[in-house]
Amino acid sequence: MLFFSFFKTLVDQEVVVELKNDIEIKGVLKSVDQYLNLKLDNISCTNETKYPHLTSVKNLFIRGSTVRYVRINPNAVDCTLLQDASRREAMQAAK
Amino acid sequence: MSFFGFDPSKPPQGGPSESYDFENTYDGLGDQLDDADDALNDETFGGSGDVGKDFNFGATKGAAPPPPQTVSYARAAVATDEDFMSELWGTAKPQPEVSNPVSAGEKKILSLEEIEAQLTAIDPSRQPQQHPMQPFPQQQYGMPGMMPMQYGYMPPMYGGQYPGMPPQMMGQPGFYGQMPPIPGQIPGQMPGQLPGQLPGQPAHGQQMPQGQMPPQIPHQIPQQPPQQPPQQPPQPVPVQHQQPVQAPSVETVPEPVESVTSIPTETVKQGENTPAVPLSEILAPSTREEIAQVASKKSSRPVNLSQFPVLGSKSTPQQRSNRPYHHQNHHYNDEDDDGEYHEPLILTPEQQIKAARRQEKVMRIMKYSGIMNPKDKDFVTRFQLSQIVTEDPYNEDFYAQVFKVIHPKPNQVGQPQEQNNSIAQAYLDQSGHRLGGRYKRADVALQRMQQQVQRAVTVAKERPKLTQYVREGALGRISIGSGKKPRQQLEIFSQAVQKGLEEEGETGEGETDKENKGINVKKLNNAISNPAINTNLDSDSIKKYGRKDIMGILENIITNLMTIESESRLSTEVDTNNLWESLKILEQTSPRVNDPKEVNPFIQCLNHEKALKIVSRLFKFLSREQILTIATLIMSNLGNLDVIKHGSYTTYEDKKVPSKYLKLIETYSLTFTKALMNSVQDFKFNEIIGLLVILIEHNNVSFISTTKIGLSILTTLLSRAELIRGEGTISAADLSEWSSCYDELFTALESRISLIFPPNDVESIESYVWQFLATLALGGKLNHQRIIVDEVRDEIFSVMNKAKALDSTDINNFYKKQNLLNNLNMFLVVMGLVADENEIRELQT
Repeated sequence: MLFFSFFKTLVDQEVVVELKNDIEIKGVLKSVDQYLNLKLDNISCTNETKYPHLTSVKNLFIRGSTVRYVRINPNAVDCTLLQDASRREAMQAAK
Repeated sequence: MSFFGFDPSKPPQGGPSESYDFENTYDGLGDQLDDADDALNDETFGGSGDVGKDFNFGATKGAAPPPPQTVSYARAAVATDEDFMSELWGTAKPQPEVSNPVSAGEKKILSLEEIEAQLTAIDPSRQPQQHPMQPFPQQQYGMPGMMPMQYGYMPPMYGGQYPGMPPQMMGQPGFYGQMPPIPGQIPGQMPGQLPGQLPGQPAHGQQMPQGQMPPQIPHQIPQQPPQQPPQQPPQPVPVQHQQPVQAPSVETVPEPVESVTSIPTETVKQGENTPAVPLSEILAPSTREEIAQVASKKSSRPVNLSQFPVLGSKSTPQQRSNRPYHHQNHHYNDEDDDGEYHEPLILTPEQQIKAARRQEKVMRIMKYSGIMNPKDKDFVTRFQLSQIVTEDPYNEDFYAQVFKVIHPKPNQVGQPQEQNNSIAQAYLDQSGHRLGGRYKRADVALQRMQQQVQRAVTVAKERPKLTQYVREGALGRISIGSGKKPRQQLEIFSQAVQKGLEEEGETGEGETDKENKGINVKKLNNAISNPAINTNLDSDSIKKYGRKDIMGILENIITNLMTIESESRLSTEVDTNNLWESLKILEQTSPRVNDPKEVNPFIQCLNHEKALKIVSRLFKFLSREQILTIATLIMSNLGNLDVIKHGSYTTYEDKKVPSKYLKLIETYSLTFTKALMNSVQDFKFNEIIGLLVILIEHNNVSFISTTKIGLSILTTLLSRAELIRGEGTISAADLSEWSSCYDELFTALESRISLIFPPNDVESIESYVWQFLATLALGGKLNHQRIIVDEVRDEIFSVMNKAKALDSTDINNFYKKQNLLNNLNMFLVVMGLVADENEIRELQT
């Protein structure tokens, strides 16, 4: 739930999603669910010359299990809060 | 291979010029048929003599002599179940031929409801047999029972196309008749439909008794004989009847030349039902070419483009390759089509192409639009929400919830936050769903979604939490993902195991305690044998805190703090006792220790960054007295703090504090010093004096003054005392106490004041030293100030020289110089002096 909660705060931010098949997609995060499936809008491929497959695609849905990394703007993260949240998660799990 | 005994190898029987219309097959038009071409029917169908117009398919194989053909197709088309059965078994009473036109005429005006009623009366158990792909034997029964086939076919398509319709309504064929045809959907449904409907017709036509033959004798047989026979699906005559509107302009166009009685009405009906978009618009160019070819062959008839568009536009290529009968339909319809509809729909080729493109686009969009009806969507939404909804959003969705409050989105600031209690709503609020293309629709959709969410939340809350269940016969436990743990497959520790581990840990600790005791015993023995270290005698009562212990205590503090924070969101009254207990402020408060591990645990906690970061949050929940207690503890234990102990340049050979401690000092001044400064505002004058006295008593003031944090704390206390003194409400007793306290402090510092300047602060950008000097000077008398100035004279001139050396033409240097002089003057102004880069003057007032 922590990551779901975390990614929810990134909605409408620009993120770069690196997939396990090496394609990197930059786009505005539109939605996320508990499986960390992502919906991106206004996408562009950061390694487009290598993978031109998505040249004409504007928005897409990414299955969470295919994501390797999501790169985000560090300023969009509240680290203290995140620490608290993870602690809280651990507290929940310990119960 | 034959179909109802029809021999495909025989010369075609249908006249090419005759058309064929399902609509009319039950109209009794057979009576008006030209029977000229029916001469070979006997041969084809087993030749049982005059079968009349009511040919019974059930008896064609000759196993049993065909019963009297008493039921017309028209009759069969609308036959009830009983009729059907009785016909099938030859028990129906003969029906006079003459009655047929009449009955057909009546049936012509059957209302949709009536048709519906008749259809629903048909035995549903027959339905499976009526699939067009069924092998032959079954097709023989198929005719009257054909009607239910619609059930099987239509609902999925219309279900998709008309999302607003409740499912039960979709199952009713009569319903379709009321539907205006949507251009985009027709191509989708046709392929499934037509094959079953049209190709069956030829058989009928040929079986039709004389005088009953409807005008539409299929001519496609002569045209494409090879394709026809193997693919003939059952004869869907009834289908046509049920759905006069469905594809009106395609198959059901009557043959005006030969139509006699009912065709005009049909025509009108079809005209009404013709789609609003001219069908000719959706003709694909290729189709038109095809038509043109056919038309040129059959030039006797005008080509009516408007009549088969739907089939032709998109699915033509498919039809050519996969669905030959479709292909036939084209020709067939094409030729059947009549000029009647033709004229008003004529468009220029450009317009047609344009319209066709547009239509294709619309079709592409329409193809999947509304594939889910609102109920489907609601279901999916509810299902999804039930997984992520939680009763305790602040716990389970802590980050997002708090983040939203701390960092409100600019456009959300003004919005009411009353829905905060549900994560699902927050989720939807924030997820940026784009609902609907147009604003109004979006609003409606949004409202509906919100209502849906409300319901989903209540449902999800009521539903018992089921995370796992074992099904009989299953090999393992089936785990059900929840929003919290979408994919958890492993239960790493059961609670029992965890408890066991904890117990183990405790016994482990016990062992270390024993070891400690062993050591203490040794120490004790040593002490006894060696009287010189007698001081260790009482070490038994002093608990040592290892790093792990401290971390445990710290985590405990943070946990308590977070619990209290959660509680405070719900109510204003919170119980902070647990938190206070966990701080362990009152344990082993003595600053005199032999081992750093014996220092008070809270003081030890303050050596860790994560403790410093929670100090200000911690202080929020503590009373003034509690904070004062903490402050007292810290003042007495200053020397035991890492930031003091390791924060003085004097303890290092290179006169530099290592970066490890510099970082901690930085954090300390950003967190603890600030929190302390805020708290000191609440302290009373005598409390501050008390703190100072404790500080002086328990610490080496001169050493502390060489650390940044120590100096900051001194500055904080002194300046606060000065401020209170400035208010002039201090009692004489307090004042005298203050001056003695100040004297004591000054004595401790005297002759070592210059040491407070860290030697490696080359840039002299540290203002805290000058701040301290200013505060100290402010509290002192003139002789104090003189001593201070005397001691730091070198530093004053050094700063002035540094400022002078900086080239003020560089903007950076200019600011640096200003900064240097400002810091210096902060101190000098206290004594009525002011300095520039050249000289020190008396302050002009």
